[in-house]
Amino acid sequence: MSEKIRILLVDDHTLFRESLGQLLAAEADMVVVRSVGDADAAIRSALELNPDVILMDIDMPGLICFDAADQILRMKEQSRIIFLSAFFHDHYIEQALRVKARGYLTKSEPSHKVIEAIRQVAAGRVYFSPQVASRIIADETGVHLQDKKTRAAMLTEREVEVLRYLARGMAKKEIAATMHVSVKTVEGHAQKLMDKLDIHDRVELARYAIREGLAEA
Amino acid sequence: MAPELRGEHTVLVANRDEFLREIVVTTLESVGYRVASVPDVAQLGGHIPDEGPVNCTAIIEVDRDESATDLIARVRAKVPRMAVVLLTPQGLEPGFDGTERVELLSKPFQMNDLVKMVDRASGLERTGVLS
Repeated sequence: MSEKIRILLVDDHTLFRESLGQLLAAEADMVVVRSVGDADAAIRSALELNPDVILMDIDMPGLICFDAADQILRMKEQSRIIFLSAFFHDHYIEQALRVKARGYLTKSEPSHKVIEAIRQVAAGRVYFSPQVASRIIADETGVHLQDKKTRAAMLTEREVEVLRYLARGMAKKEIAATMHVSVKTVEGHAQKLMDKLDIHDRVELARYAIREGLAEA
Repeated sequence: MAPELRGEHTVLVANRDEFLREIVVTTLESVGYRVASVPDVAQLGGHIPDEGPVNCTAIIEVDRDESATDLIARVRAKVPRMAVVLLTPQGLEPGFDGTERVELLSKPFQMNDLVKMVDRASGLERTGVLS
């Protein structure tokens, strides 16, 4: 590529933004045209600078980044957005696909993966990890993420509540006392939610709850 | 998996939906296929080699108002026996005349299903080298 890839960085954490900016500036084919700390500034900068790739953090205060991406893409259809997140939540990826983001990266990715993703997306491609790509489903309304979200949606409110407590490491007796039900009831909910999720290991269950953002509330 | 065998095979993707097209391309490349993509069947010709043998499979989307038979004929104008995977809307079974080496994949489909379908259409599945 003869011209440099022009990148807009969007992240509310200054240190992360600056570090990533320095990393990208070291690449001969890339230039960071601006770094901003919120989604509103991202919209203004995207319209003003017309960058090749927008690298946008998901977990920012203020305007929800997916709405910002939606606005940018409505005004500049050719914009290529890669979302960055500390988390690998299915509902984030689902939202990223909904707004037709060109990629999704977690902040735990090695730097060469971020650089590879930017190059790929700048070249008109998409960048999703193989684990995500294999779960993408195409239907008449577009593309979505299959399976795990659907499985989580099968849980009742009580089962989600039990899942949350289990993910926090609480014993069944403790959960029963908190929920004002019997231990047997808690065991029943736990068994049902494990069957529905097809996860029968408590550690895996906790990981699932954390990944899905169910352990936070 | 045997991505090196898939690497001998080119998949031509024709789809108007750019986002879906690029996801298909990325998925197929990640399992080892060489892939070329265009927005429209009419543009596929430029990617088909003039001389055989041709290790090519075309993936084309059939809209409700299109004839699958016509689309297959257009794809095969240059290479009569080219393998074709037809992506069809849900519930639509496009009428075509029983042509060989045509696979149907109805929406909704998962990318893994598409890879399996291309393996089958390309003949790699029958060799038993792909698990």
